[in-house]
Amino acid sequence: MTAGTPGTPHAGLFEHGPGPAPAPAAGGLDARVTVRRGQFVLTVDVQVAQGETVAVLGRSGAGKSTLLRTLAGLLPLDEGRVTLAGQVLDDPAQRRFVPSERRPVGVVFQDYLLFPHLRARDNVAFGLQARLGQSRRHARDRAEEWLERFGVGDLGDRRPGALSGGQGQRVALARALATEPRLLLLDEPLAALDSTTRGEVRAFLRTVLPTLSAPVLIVTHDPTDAEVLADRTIALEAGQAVATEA
Amino acid sequence: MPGAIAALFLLLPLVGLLVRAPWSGLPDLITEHDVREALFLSLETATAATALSLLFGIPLAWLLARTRFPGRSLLRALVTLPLVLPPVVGGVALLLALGRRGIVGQRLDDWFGITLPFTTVGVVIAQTFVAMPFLIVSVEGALNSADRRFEDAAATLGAGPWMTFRRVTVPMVAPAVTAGAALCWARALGEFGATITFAGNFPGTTTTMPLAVYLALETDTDAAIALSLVLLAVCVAVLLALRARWFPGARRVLRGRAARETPLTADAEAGIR
Repeated sequence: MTAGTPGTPHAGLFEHGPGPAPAPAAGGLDARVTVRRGQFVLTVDVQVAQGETVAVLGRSGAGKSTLLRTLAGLLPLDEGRVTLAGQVLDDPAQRRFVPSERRPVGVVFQDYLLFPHLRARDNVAFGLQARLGQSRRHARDRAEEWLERFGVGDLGDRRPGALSGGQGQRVALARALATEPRLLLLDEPLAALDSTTRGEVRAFLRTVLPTLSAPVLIVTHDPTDAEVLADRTIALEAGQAVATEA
Repeated sequence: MPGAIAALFLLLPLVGLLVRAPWSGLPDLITEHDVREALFLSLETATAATALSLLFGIPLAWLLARTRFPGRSLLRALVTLPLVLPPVVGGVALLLALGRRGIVGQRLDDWFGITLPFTTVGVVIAQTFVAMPFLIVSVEGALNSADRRFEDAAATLGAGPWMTFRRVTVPMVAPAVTAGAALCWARALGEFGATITFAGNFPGTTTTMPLAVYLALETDTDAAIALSLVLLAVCVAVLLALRARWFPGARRVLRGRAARETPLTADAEAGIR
């Protein structure tokens, strides 16, 4: 795979007028990200306020997933700084790096990555045990509540292989939110779904995301998803932010 | 048609074995002292060889699959060598290394008074040498094709490396460990060439079932057939156990690989490179 095609910076899709600079809120995300991988350089600034949903829109190879991995703590920055709710998560200049397992960040991966050997309930309970240190029994009860809340309470006994795309998305969101993250990352939340399920899940996310107090960052290649789900869009092309829409 | 011939060719010897079996005398033959001795020796040594293979083979499989060090490809080739090496050659090699005059064996004898060849321990060593690669190859393959993004997912849920290994990595390759151990055990059970070369053929200490079959064939054909039937029964049992355990596992491994190769992941890889 090539690391992004160098395109004209104002390709029609991503043309947006400049908007007012977002005010970084106390509980929000403030990230200045620079990551180099050979020829490819990702340089982007992202601010997401509490309760705000921001979409990062870009084609395959634009660096969206790299950005998501740095924010999740799966990939360290080469330069820059990531702070979340005032806490420094990554700052190479100060040799500070909080690894993924100690970051209050929830991730819904693009094909969900629900553990195939665990039932839906235990997938959700996994994070409650790992991050919040809850006992197995307590974690399972909480997990049931989370599944209930997202309308999949009757599917707790199923393994991920027996879930539909839309159901998997709900379980994955429950799993990510159950750990009480202070930042939620969604990686191509609708890409794995067929067109019917897509509309249903989009509507579902549209009702859930505004109720969250944590900042939400969505990575997507689909302008419609960005438009419908996010308050604001950052267009990314060949590792650079092209324009920010208010 | 050629397929039918192949199937017939594979089936015929087994039919021959079953037809020629001295069914009426079978209970007596099988319960004979020598037979029981050889059977139990075989079961014990094959189980010990499998245990050794699990203990040392899984860490080696993990090293081969998850770490990068100089000479890794060479090591991988060496590990798989016993799979294709004639077992007799393996036996000779073991003799030269661990025999009384072998490079290591001599020291073991001089310093500790330990002699490995022509002992039951020698049988276990010969079997481990031949059978361990089956386990290593099986587990390494599973670790390689296991989707490592599940480990990322575990980390984002707050699981440290040890919890991730215990609750995600190991359960996801468990079917391959079971399958590998079963193959390893079956291979150890049938081991002949390396055993007879390195450990000899001493009833009670090194005469395992395959050796007993060979020995009996020269003196008492009926006994040889009876012993063969016992081995056949054990192998069929292992195969049945494998069918139940292995195939769901193989499916799971494949599913993991399919998930990893979805086109959008290429974005992540492109970004990293």
